[in-house]
Amino acid sequence: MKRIRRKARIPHFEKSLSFSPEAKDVSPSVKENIDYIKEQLFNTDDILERDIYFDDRQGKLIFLETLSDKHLIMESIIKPLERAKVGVVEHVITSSGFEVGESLDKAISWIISGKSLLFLEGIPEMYVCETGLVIKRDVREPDNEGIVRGSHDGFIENLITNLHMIRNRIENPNLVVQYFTLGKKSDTKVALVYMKNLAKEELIDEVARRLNLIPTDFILSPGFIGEYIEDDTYSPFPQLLYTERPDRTIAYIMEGRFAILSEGNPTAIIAPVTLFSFYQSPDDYHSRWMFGSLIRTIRFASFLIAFILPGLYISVVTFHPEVLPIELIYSVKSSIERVPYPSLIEAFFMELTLELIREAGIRLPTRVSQTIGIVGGLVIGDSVVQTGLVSLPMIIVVALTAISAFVVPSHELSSTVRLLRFPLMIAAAMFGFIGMAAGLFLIFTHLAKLETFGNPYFSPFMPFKLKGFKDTFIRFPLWHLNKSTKDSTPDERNSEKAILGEGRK
Amino acid sequence: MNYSVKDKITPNQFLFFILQTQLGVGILSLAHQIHKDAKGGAWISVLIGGLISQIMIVIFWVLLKRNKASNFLQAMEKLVGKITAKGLVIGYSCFYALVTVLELSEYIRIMTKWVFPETPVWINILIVATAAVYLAKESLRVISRMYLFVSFLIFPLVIFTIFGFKNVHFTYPMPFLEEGWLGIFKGANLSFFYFLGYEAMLLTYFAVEGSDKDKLKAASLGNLFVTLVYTFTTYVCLISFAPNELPLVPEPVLYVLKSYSLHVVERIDLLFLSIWMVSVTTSVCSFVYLSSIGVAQLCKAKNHKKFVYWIAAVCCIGTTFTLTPHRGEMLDDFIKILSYGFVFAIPILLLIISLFRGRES
Repeated sequence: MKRIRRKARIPHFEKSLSFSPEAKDVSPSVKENIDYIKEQLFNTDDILERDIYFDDRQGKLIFLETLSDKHLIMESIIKPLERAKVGVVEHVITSSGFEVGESLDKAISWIISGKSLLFLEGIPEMYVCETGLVIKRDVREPDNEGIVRGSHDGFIENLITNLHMIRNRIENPNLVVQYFTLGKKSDTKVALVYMKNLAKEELIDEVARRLNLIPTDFILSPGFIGEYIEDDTYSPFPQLLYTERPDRTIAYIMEGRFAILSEGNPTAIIAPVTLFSFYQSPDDYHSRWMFGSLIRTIRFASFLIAFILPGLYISVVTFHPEVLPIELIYSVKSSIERVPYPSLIEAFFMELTLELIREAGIRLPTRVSQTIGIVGGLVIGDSVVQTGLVSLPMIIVVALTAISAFVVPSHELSSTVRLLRFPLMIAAAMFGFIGMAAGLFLIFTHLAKLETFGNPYFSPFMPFKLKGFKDTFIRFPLWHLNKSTKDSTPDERNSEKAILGEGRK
Repeated sequence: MNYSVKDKITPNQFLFFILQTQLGVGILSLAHQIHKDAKGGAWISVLIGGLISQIMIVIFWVLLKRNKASNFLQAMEKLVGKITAKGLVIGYSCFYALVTVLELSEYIRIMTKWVFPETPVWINILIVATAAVYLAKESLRVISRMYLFVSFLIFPLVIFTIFGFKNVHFTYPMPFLEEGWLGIFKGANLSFFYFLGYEAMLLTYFAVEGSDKDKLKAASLGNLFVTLVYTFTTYVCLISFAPNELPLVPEPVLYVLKSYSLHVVERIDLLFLSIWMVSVTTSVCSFVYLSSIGVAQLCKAKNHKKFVYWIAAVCCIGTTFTLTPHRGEMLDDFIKILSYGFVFAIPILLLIISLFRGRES
């Protein structure tokens, strides 16, 4: 909170779109108005104007062809006007959004947001019609968050469509959408979505405050918003959950959290979340609860494997080989003896190679990335052992670690886990088990103090809440979960009641 | 300093704060030390030691209950006047700092012997101190949260010890009263020091939310748990080693663990030491925190953060001077005498004053 206040002290730059400082009213002369607008937009070539005759007056329709839907303009403005010939403009035009404006300054911001302006000779007013062109792709399942069963739709780059998907799923009057316009040089529409009766009021006030304080010029991605509103930027742990799945989003909204969606991006930001939210997947709730629990437990095991195993292995082979059973010591030692480097260097070499392969695989088209898989996996994996650069057990450890890191359903946490194992590896290589213990102690202390929007991040472990475990390691049957307490919501709340509108006075 | 909202803890968290502060370096050498005086009755001594601690907890509780204030310093100012109160807080701060030094030097002694025979001492100190300071500079609430979490590690500690039952001889410690009740009380007198840590009540009591009864219950439960763990490990050591063996092994718990294997993991003592290291870190963290809280209250500072660094630095440097066996023993004896004063005499004296004051009004 303190951090954001500090950032807000950065002087606010005036929106440097070329708005003239003094207010200018619409003049009765059409030409004067058109010239003014063109001049303000520096005679950009994509301005279109069309002559209109209405009510025995000469008029002009002006719009940006790159932002407006020409077909819509024809249907809702030109055709009705030509058919009616005389009458009141407001009554004739069939556009869904219609306004009458008198100030030319506003005209500029309207026109760059895709609206069409109509001027009539002798009338010092302009008619503003909503004619924005919407180009959007089809709704389809996000590639990075596939699931086996359940709904297969995902958010797209259009805010209205995304909000539609949420509203459509939550038919409840308590669902509130709050719009914000962010960015000093380019406006980005951002929507804050929450359940009025479930989300704490202080939480919503706080997030609205933080959103309004964002001092950036323009919003490129939700990551921009995320970095400005999160509590601790210097933490390796992700404090906001990003998802492209509407079902996941509404599940969190119904738990009293909020979602932030922005125009032009299919990603929703969800907060406040705990570490364990990142390990939940909609799939858990589609399978039977026992199996769902098993899968979830495996995911947590993967979390531990991914960031402890390399360190553990290093500390065992460098400091405490006597921990292993005697037969294992022989086979491990015989493999290690051929490698001249300390195991930390082995591990770093292998982990970095793996990250390289992964990074290369992401950027390349699918057909080429298969080659990377073969070169990286087979050729490098096999030959580093043959050459004696890396020992076989190390390959096993690194491979297991890599697989475990990818089990995490969230990309952000997966990167955190991959990042955190490096300091642990160094600690292990320096001080063995004791170093690991100290390293883990530091990490968990960090988790203990981390809070997002006033909610403890490592709940239900810290602070310990037995009830919170109903949906953490084990997914209890759903009728159990209805009564479980969630951190983001008032404790005494019984979620089912609250959804029906009885929860809060 | 006053406790802010962020420093308020629940009785549950208070329980684990007391527990983790008490549970420290002692557990490894407890059986060996007490056995010197009480022989087979060592476990009874430990039990009595726990009982004495319980009585002291009640005394602290009555004292603190009768003198309600927003922090320890203010409570004492009301009771004994400004100057004496300040002296008291200074005294306790120094006492806590000295206990930190003792914990650290005992930790270093065992670490050097068991894991890092050739690592420079200051690196060993630095490992623990870094972890402890990182936690101690946080608010009491965060510290207690963390303590509750690491308390899960007590389960493996106990379970590892249970595995030690493989080759035991229940007749080893018998007869329990070999040294007579005198020996047992001598042992209890010694075990009293291993239970130190509940005096953390003095400075943290006013930060706990809830009724006085809940607070007493929490502190007592914490102490009860530590008593059980200590008694249990002592008993396991007594039945694992013959009476003439025990004086030869200074860390009997580790030898018990070292003697058997789990097929998956061979050297359980190493795992035990890693977990024990966390226990030590939490104790060190507690004492550094308490010491800095005392200083912060004296200086009327907003928070204790900056004092933590200084006190920890002083303690670390101090520890390096105590590492020869002779000096270690001197420090040990010195702190024993001090504890009689700070944990025993002064609180009872304060309680008596408080009782008289109460009668006056």
